[in-house]
Amino acid sequence: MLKYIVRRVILMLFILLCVSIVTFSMMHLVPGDPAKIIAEQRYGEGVTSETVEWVRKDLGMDGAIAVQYFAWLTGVMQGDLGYSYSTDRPVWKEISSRFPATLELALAAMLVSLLISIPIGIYSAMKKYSIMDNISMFAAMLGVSMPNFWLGLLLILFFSVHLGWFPVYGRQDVTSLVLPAVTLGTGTAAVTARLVRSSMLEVLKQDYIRTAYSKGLKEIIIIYKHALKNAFIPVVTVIGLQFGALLEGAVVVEVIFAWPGIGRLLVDAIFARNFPVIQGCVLIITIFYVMINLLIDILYVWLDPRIRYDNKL
Amino acid sequence: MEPVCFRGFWFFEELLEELLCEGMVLNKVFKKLIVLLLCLAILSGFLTGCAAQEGKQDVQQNQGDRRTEVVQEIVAGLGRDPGTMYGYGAHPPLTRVLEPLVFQDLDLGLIPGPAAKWEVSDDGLIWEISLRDDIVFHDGNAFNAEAVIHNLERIAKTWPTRLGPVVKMEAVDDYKVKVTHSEPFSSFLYSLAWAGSAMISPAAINEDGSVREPIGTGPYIRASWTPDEEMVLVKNESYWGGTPILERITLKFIPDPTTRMMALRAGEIDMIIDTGGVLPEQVTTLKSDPNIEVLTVAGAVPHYMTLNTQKPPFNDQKVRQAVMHAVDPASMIEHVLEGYGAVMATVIPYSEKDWMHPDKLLAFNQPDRARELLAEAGWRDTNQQGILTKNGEELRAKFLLSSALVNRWPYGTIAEVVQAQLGEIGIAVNIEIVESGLWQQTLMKGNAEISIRPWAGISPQTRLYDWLHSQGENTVNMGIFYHNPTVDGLIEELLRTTDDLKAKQISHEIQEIAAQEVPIIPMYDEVLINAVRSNIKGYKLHPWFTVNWEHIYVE
Repeated sequence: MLKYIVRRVILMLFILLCVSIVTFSMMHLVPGDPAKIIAEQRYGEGVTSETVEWVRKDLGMDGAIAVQYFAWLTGVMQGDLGYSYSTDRPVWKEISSRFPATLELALAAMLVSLLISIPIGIYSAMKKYSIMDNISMFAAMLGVSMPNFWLGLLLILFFSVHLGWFPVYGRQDVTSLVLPAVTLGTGTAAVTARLVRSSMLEVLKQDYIRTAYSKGLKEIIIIYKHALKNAFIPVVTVIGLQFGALLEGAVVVEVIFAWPGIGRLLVDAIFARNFPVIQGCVLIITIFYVMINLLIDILYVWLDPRIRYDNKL
Repeated sequence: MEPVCFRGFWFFEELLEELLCEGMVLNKVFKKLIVLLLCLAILSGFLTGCAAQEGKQDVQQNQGDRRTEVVQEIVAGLGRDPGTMYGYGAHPPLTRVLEPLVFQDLDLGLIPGPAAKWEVSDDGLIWEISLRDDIVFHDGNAFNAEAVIHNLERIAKTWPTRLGPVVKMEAVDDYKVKVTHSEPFSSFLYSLAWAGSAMISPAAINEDGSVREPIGTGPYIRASWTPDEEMVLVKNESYWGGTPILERITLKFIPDPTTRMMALRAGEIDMIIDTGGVLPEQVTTLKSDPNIEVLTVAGAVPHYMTLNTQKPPFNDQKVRQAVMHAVDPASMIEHVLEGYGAVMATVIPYSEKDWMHPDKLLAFNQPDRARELLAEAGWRDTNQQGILTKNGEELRAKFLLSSALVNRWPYGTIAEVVQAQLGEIGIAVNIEIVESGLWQQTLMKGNAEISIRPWAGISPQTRLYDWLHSQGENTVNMGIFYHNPTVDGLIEELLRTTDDLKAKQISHEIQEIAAQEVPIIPMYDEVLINAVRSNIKGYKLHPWFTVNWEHIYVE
C-alpha cells in the first residue's frame, strides 16, 4: 500500500509538470497581446506602444516562451509562484487568501449533497417504482436540470430578501455559507442520488442478498450490512470526481454570491492574461484533484478488502 | 500522544453506538460513513468559524449598529473591484481617495480642485497653475509645486501623449507650477481633470513611476483593501473641502448585477454606484420598492458602431450612409435599453453639448433612403433572395463583438436588431462574439466589417482625434482605418486652437464631414443608473460616476 502511495505521489509530480507545460503554452497561444491587455488594465484606455513595451519588459515577457517557462519553473521549485500582474501581490498570497473559502464551500456543498442524496438513493432503491421513488427521482431530475445561477438567485430572493434569514452575498459567518452550499450541493446531490439508487438496485439483485433474505435477516441489516458497502464503490468514485469539480467549478456560484473563491480568481486571471495567477491556481487545483483521487483509491480498500494495489502493481 | 482528530473520530463512533445500536447491528462501514459526514460538517464549520473571526466581526457589528441608530457608515455595492484600475490601488472617481488637480461639475464643466486657478499665455504655449496652499497628502506630506511636478512627470511617462507636447515643467514658487508646450494643446485642462491624472504623495510613488499605495488628497483615506472583496474607506478629518460626514464607507465588489440589486433590496448595502451598476431592466423592480430611490443621469458614455472603411463593402461611402439610414437607435433604446439612453445627433455626446453641432446631423430610420443609396452604389437584388449583389459578390458583413463588453452592455441584442434592420435593406450580417483579445486583434487586422464599443473620452478635442484622425487610437485599434487628409488637418488644428469659439467652429466642420462620410455610427448616449436606500441623502449622480462622498450622509 505504502509503495503504491509513493508511486502515485511520484506520478503526481509528472502530472503537475505536464499540466503546467500545457497551461503555459495554451495561455501563450491564445490571441491578443498579453502585455497590451495588462497595460490597458493597469493604465486604462489609450496606452501607447511605449507603455506596452515597458510593461512587457517589466513583467519579463520579452524573452522566448521556453525561457519564460523555465524561469517560472525554477521559481516554483524554490517555492516562489511569482507575483500577480494585476495586484502585484505574491501569487501564493492571492491563492492562500481564497483557497480556504473555496475549500469551505466545496466541503459544505459536498455535505449538503451527501445528506440529500444518500438517504434518497437508498430509499428509492428499496421502494423501487413506489410513488415516493418516482417523486424523489423526479426531484433529482429537477435538481440536475436546474441551472445553478437560477436556483441561487431564487434562494436569495426567498430566504434573504423576503425572509431575511441569510445574507445575500459575501463570506462573513456560517449563515452566509448556507445558500451557496445548498445551491452548489443540490446539482451534485441529484446525480449522486440517482447513482446510489441504480447501484443499490444492481447489488440488491445479487445472489448473496437473496441468500441473506432467505436466512431471515431483517431488511435493515441486509441493506446496511450487505448491500450498501458494495453499492458504494462506484458512488465513492463519482463523489471524488465531483469534489474536484466543486473546487474549480463553483465559478457561477462564486459570482452570484460574491464568494471570494479561487474559481473567480482563475476566471478573472484568464481574462486579464494574468499568467502567474493562472499557473498557480491550476497547480493548486491539480494537486488537490490528484490527492482526492488518491484518497478515493485508498478508500476502495476500506470498502472492499479484496482490492490490493500492491499485488496489482 | 494520540492526535486530537482521531480521538474525535472515536468519540463519534461511540456516540453513534449509544444512539443507534439498540436492537440494531450497525454495519461498521455505514457507521464510518456517518462519522465521515460529521467530520466534514465540523471541518467546514471550523473553516467558516476561522473566516468569521478574520476581521469580519466588526463589519457585522457595524451592520447591527446601523439598524438600531443612525451611524454615519454605509456599504456601497459595485460591479468591479475599485482597487484595480490605473494601477493606483483606488479608483479615483469611485473612491475619492485620489483627486486630480481640476474637477468637472455635473455638466462636466471644468472647476477648480486642488488647483485653485489657471492661466494660459496668449500664444497658448505656457500654462500657469496656482495650487491651494492648505492641502496635505494623507501621509502628512506637503501638497506643493514639487509634488505636482513629480506627479505630472509620472503621468507623462505612463501616458506620453496625455499632457500634450510638454517641453518643460517647473515650479514658479511653492504653490505655482508652469508647464510649457512646444505647440498649443487645447485639451490640457481636460487632461488634468482626467481620473488617471490623480495626485499621489511622492512618498508613495516608486522610482519607475508605479504607485505603491493610494495616498492622495481626497476626502477619504483607504483603510484596507481585500482584492475581489471589499475596500474600506475612512474619512479624512483634514480634507481641504470641509470635513466629510460619513465616518466609514465599505465598497463591496458584487460581480453579479442581480445579486447587487437583491442586496440593496435586503438592506445589506445602502447604495449601488458606478456605470453599469444597475441594469435598465432592473429599474421597474427597484422603483416598486418604497425604500429605494433610483437615480439617473444622461451619461458621458456614448456607444459607437464602427465600419471598416478600407474594405468592401464599406469602403463605399454610399453603403456606409445606407447603414446609418437603415438602423433605428430610437427603437433600440426603447426596447433594449428600456428607454435609458438617448439618440445621438452627432459624434459628440450630450455631455459635451457646448461642442455639439447645432443641427441634427445624423439621420436614422430611413430604410427607403438607404435602399436608394445602395441602388446608386450598384447593389441589386439579382437572385431574389433578399441579399443584394454586385459583380457576383453578395453584400455581406461580419459584426464582431467582444465577450467582455457583451457582459456589461446589451450588445448581443443590439447586434441582432442591427442584423434585422440591415437585412431589411439587403445586407446580410453575421454576428460573432469572441474573447476580448481576439476581438481586438481581428479588428486591427481588418478582418471584420462592423463592431461596437463605448467611449467615455477625456475632452471633445481628443474624442475627435481618437475616432476620426487617421492615427487616432480607435481609428487604428477598432479597424476603422478612416483616412481623410482634410479631417486630419482640421483635428490637428483643433488640438492647437486655444480660442474656444474658433475651436468649436472647427469641431462643427469635422462633425459635418463625419456625418457625411460615416466612418462611425453613434448608436446611443448611455443613461447612467444608480440606486440608493431612501435614508441615504446628498448623493448627486455625476455623468462620469464620480461620487460626492463628502456630501453623502445617512438620515
